[in-house]
Amino acid sequence: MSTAGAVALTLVVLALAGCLPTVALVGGRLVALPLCPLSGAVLCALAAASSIAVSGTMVMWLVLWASAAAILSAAALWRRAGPGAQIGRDLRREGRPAVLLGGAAVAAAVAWALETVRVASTGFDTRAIWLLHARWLERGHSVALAALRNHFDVVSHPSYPPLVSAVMALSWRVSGSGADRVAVVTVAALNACVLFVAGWGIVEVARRAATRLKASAVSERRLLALGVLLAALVVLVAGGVLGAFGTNGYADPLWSLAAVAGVVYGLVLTPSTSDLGVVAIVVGVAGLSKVEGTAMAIVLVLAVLLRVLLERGRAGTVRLPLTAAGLGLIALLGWPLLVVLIGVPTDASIAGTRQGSLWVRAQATFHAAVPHLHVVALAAVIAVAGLCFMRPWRGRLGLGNDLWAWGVLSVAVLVLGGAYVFGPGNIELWLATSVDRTTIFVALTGWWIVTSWALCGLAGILP
Amino acid sequence: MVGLLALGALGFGVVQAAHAESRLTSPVAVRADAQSDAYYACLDAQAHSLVGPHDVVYLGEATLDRWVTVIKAVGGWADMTVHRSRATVAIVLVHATGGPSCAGDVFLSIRRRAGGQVLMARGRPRSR
Repeated sequence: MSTAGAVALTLVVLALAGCLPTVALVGGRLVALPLCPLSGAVLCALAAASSIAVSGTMVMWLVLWASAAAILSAAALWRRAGPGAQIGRDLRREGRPAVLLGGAAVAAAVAWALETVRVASTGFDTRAIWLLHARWLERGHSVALAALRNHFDVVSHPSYPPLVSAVMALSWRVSGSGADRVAVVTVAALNACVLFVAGWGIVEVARRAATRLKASAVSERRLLALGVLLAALVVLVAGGVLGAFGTNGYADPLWSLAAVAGVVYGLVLTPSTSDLGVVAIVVGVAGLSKVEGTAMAIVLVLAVLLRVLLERGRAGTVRLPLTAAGLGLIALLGWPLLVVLIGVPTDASIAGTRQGSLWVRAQATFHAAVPHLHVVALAAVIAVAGLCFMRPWRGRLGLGNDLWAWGVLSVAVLVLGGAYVFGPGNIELWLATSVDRTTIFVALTGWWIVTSWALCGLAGILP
Repeated sequence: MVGLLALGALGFGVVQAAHAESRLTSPVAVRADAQSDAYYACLDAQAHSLVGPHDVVYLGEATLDRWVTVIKAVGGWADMTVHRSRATVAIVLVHATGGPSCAGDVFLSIRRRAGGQVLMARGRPRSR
């Protein structure tokens, strides 16, 4: 089977596994399409964790998890009043030619942004961590458990969350190919899905603005076109920020893009229940992809919860968001807890002796990160100008307060920067080998903030 | 004004992204990626020629970067141990000047037979 065929087949399997949960959480929106394989990837990660924790193969657990999720989702859809009618309304709204054309344009931008997939490239960490863990997972419970506990393999960060490796292992199982290239391109395809989701968030902002402004049909189409243009531009910019990491099998783009999507749907848009469904899926992807992703996923859950509580703060509606967020936090902490329970050796990047004073490490971190984060200064200038001149207009368009996104960005800087400053080992080596990808989330959030203000400003001067 | 400034920034970002994209798909980058793939495929073949399915492997690498290189080549399929007494074979990656190699690197294996005899073997690249 060709690499393209193997990857397509894996995506179909993931989409089938994630289809019903996605429809139950998000409805019949266009954005549900790329979310289906992402939901499937979350289930795949749960399957990998179950295989390690209990027994059996990852594929067996994927079938069990997918079946359980499908039954629960079908029951939830059944209990809702008129689910068929609601999904039918969604499909009619999302199936309009202008919307489909916009979707095609954003998809084309995603394809261009990840064009480097043409080059057969396998990253350093991809071999040292993700492909290695995938080989263990592919061989089932006893091999995976023994390898995770083996002190020999501690340099491969065995405590890292399992989503990327689980999807890689699934791609081999599904296609019958054991080729590294199939696994790497499958991860690139997931990056493409989540990049579309994050980009489409900008189009959603424009569409909601048209509804809020009670725009005429012509104005609505213009706003949609503007949203599609800006979404395509920010997707193309994201391709440059991701660089080689977007297509060489690293986990950083996946968690970063998923977290950016969480910011857009949970904090930039005024989130509907369906938007919160999107947030739930992308937070799962971010939290199960990498340690930094888990930290940011927790921050996102808390930020979105706080916003929802402040905006829907009536007694009757507080219980559901609190329960959902609580369950989300428990799920996100499941993997770190499992790692402790099964006795995975302490990660070399967490334990160890710190070299250099905190001040020297802080300076080194600042100087190494700044070249990757010029966009944050740019976004700050634009945001201050926007707050001075366009704040009421932003409110009329229905966008959330910009400070929510800035709050998450600031926490990300503190968490990621704090890890370098207070963490162990030689700071120069650590920064040289990682800062270009650990800053991806912050840089992308900066670009999405710029794009939200571009939409605000340009929507105001549209005829 | 704010919208145009932001739009200009996005346009500049797209130009930068296009530059990054062309760098990553340049013949130089493609060649470097192909060399890396070939290197690890070669190491994998060498290691498979030395380590059997029932072997327990001990690594004799002294530096972290060589250790990581070997783990990348064999860590996915070989059963490895930190206890030398449990191992059935030790492997080490060395630079070699003569004979077939993987960009100058060769795996050597060391086994102790039942009679105390020590056997050393050199990894073989995959036959073409």
